[in-house]
Amino acid sequence: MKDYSDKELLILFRNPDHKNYAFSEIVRKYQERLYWHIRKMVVIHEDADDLLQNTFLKAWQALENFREESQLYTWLYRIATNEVLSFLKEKKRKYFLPLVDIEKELISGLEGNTYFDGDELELKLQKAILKLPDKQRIVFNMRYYDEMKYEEMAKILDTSVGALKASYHHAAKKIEYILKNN
Amino acid sequence: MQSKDKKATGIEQAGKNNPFSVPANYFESFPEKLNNRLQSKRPSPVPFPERAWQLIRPRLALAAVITGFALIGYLGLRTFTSTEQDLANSENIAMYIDFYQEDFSDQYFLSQLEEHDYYFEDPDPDYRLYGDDPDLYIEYLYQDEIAMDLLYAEF
Repeated sequence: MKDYSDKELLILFRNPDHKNYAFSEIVRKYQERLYWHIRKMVVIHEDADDLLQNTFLKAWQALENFREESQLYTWLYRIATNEVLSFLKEKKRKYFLPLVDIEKELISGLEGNTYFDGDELELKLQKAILKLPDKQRIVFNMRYYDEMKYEEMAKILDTSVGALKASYHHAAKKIEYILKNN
Repeated sequence: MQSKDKKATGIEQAGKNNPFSVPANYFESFPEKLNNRLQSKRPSPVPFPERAWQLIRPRLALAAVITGFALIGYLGLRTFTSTEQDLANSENIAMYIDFYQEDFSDQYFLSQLEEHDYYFEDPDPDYRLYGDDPDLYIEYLYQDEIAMDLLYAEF
């Protein structure tokens, strides 16, 4: 199977004869990275699966109008991030759950999760991460796990590099504190 | 010792391994699952007559609405103007009769009868008793109080 560049995939997508094939290739190329980005935020596999599908459905609908002002990867990441934030916001609104209850729900989802293979220390770290506000959690995951550059994160999250650095610093300090005092 | 404790409870100690996992073959089957969902979202190709009808239908509906409004407007206008016209006509007739009333003299009436060779059908031979004298006829008409409007109409 040929590995296409983003540019080649977009050219293929704009050709009606190859549109479906090109989109399948885009899905194959980015599904794993986007899935893990989503999964670390929503914890439950089924939720992550739904959100990943929604991300690609939205990408399918909007890709024809994609102007290539940003990279395809950045654009997809942004759609996925928006999906996640909307999902969490909706969850809070739907069940009238205060922030602490949502956090408890996510932690309980982590503890009884069939698809969590981490050891005790990793579980502790995940629980500490879940205590962070949503946006800070995204920044922490992208920097810590995905080792993404601040410049790239700035494009995805539409935030300045300085603000992202400060956000990551605060998040790391909080996690250190939680791990130390738990 | 303090440093060791800090390290033991620090983030780095937990490592950067991804602790989550997915069901077997999840990523292999995901594109197909997504494709099935996309298929249900994609509009199925519509045959030409139906597609043409779909295109024409809104335009046809618009044309029908415009025609309906035009028809209602026309009928309304016609009703309004025809009433005006009828009134005008009635007024004209009345004015005409008033204006020419003096022309309807006995002499004028008789001259018109003669000119158009008009005669009264008379099944009764006795009726001829009046002879050819028009004055007698006129007198007869006066005596019988024949409505003048009927006479005008006949005329």
